[in-house]
Amino acid sequence: MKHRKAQINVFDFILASSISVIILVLVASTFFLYERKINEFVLYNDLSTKTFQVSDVLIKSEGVPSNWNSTNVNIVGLASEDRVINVDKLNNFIDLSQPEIKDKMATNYNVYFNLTNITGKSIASIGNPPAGIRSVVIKRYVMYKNEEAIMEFGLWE
Amino acid sequence: MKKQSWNLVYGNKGFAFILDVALAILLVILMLAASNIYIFKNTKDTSSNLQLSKTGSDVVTVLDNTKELDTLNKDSIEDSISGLIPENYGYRFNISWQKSGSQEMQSFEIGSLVPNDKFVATGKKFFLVTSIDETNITDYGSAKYWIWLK
Repeated sequence: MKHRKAQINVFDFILASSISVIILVLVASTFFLYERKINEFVLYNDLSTKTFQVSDVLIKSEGVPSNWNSTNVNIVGLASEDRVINVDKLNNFIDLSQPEIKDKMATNYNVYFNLTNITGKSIASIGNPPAGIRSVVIKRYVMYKNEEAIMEFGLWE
Repeated sequence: MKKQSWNLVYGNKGFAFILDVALAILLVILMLAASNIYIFKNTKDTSSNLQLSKTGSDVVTVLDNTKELDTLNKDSIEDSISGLIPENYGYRFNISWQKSGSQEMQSFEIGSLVPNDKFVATGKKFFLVTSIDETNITDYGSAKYWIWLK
């Protein structure tokens, strides 16, 4: 049996291998970097969407039932009409504990709520300002006791 | 002096498919660059745009709830708007109305010119102006808004 001889230019082989390894490392690190970035984006997007949706329900909806209190509430809503905060509902909302609020809002995120008048003086507040790794806080303009007010609402973890 | 030849089948000539290597590297770099651009474009934060949109909707609703829109007074409405909207927001409002039973449309505008090089949130709210005892509708109005980050 005739032995066939292989031929390899060692320098070419080393150069080609080096380039291949560099390219592989580049592709792998890009993959892992983007996977982390995309995961972070998805989590932040979820948090942001929930924050806006829950704030919409709070200031536009009467809640369920419409005359809810801290014992019979299914869905928390603070409005007597669109963007008008009801005094009694706000008081009932403040009486709820953080776990109860999270349960009624169907969220595992920590809740931050702060109602102030237009000059910044606090009217009612629930929870601590966000201090975690991920948070979204938004401002909504509402009416409270016939005066303009600002509701800050945030979810964080 | 003759160069010493390696004792190989093809002497000391090596095969180097340089063009293949260059093309392959170029393709990989192009793919990495394309994925980089795609990821960058699609992971931009859009919550600030949503905040703009919600602010516009809230402000025009609050103006309606306070009956400020019912005044149809440019200066009064402008004072109310500037008191509500944050200073880092630009805005433009168009208030239009027509009297009940009339075809004539009246309007005025408040605020700056709408930019065309950035995101602008826009919306429209219809409102009714009633008599003092709220038994008759005197005017049919609409408030259109544009809001952007300065």
